[in-house]
Amino acid sequence: MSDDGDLWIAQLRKGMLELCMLALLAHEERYGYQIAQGLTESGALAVSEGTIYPLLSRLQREGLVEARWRESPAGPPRKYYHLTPAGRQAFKSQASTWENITRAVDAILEEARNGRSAG
Amino acid sequence: MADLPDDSETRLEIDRLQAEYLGRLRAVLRRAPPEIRGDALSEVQSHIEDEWRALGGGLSALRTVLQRLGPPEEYGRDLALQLILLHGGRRRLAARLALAVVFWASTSLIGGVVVAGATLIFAFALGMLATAIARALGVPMMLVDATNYQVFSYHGQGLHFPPEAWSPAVIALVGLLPAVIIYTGLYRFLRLWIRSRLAQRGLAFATTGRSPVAPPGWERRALLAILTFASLGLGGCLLFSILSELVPIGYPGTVRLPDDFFRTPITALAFVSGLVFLVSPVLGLLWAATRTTSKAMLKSKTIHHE
Repeated sequence: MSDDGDLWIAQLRKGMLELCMLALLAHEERYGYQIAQGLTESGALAVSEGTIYPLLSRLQREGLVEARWRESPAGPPRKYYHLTPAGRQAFKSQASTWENITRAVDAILEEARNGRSAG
Repeated sequence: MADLPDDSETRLEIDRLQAEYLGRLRAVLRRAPPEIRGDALSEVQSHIEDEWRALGGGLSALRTVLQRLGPPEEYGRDLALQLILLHGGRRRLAARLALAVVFWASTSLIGGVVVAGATLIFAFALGMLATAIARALGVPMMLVDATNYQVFSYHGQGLHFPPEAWSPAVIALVGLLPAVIIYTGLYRFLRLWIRSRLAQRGLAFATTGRSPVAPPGWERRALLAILTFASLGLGGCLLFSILSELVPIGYPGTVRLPDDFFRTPITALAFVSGLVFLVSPVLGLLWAATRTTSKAMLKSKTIHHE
C-alpha cells in the first residue's frame, strides 16, 4: 500500500481509538494492560501500546474517565479506569455518530459495487 | 520482577532491561509533578509485569513487551504534558497554560530559545510602554544626552530610553506570565488551525497520541522554519536596536510621543524584527503548511495529468 494509504488507515484508526477505549470501559473497569489487549485484539490499536497512556490521561483530564489503584491477588497493584457519567454520555454520542457514518458509507460502497457489477 | 527464570544472568539482564526502559521513561517525564510521575511510572511498570507474565516470562518475552509498548520517548512527552495539565486541573487556566509552556520550553531547544526571546521582546515592549505611560501621566522628562538617549526626569530619577540592556530582565519578572500565555495561546491556536486547514485540503494525516500528526517531514520542516524566522527576527532586532542607538535623535529637548517612539526608521526595523521573532512559530508553521500544501497539490495535479 502507498504511503498515503498507510496514513489514511492510521488516521482512521486514530479516530476510532477514543471511541473504542470508551466502549471497552462501558461495562466494566479495566487497567492499562487489559485496555491495550482489547484494542490490539480488535485491531484498533495500530500504534505502540504505550500511546494509550497519554490518551487515558487526557480522558481523565476531560472528566470522561476516573481511575483508582487496586491491589491484585496475583501480580502488581493495578490502576483501574472506569467511565464517569460524562464519559457514558460521550460514549453514547460517539457511538451513535459512528453508526450513522458507517451506515452512510456502507450505502455508498454498496452502490459503487452494484454500479461496477452492472457496468 | 517476580517469578524470574533460574538463570542468574538472564535474571540480571531482565532487571537491567526493565530498569533501563523505566529510567528512560522517568527522564522523559521529569518535568511532570513528582507524585503524578511516580504514579505513571508504576502504571507502566505494572503493564510490563502483567504482559510479561501473560507471555510466559523470560528475556524474549520482556523484549516483546517493551517493543509493543514502544520507545518511552514516543509517548512519554505527550504523557508528561497530559499529566501536567491534569495536575493543574484545579488551577486557573493561566497557571495551567504557563505550566504547559514552561514544559514545552524546557523540553526542546527551540522552545527554550523562542520562549526566552519572546519574553525579552515582550519585556522590552512593556518597558517602552511603561515609559510612555509615565510620560502620559505627566512625569516630566528631559532628553539630556541626544547621542545615547539618556532621559532623566526632573526629579533626578534616571531613565534610559529605550531601556538599557539589563532592564528587560528585570521587567521580564513582571511580564513573564502574560508573555508566555499570549505566546502559547497563539502557537497552539495556529498549530491546530493550520492542521485543520491542511486536513480540509485533503491531505492525509497520520496520528499518534491525542493530536493528529502532519505527514512525515512536516514537523521537521516547520521546526526549521520556526528556528530560521526566530534567528532572523532576534538577530535583526538586536542589530537594529544597536544601530538605532548610534543614530542621533532629530530634536534634542523634551521627549514627545508618539514622535519619538519610532524615532528613526532603524528603530522601526528593530521593532519589526522583534515582531518577526515574536510570531516566528506562526510564520514557520504557515511557511511549512504552504509548502506542504503546494507539494500535495502539485502531486495531485501530476496524477491527474497522468
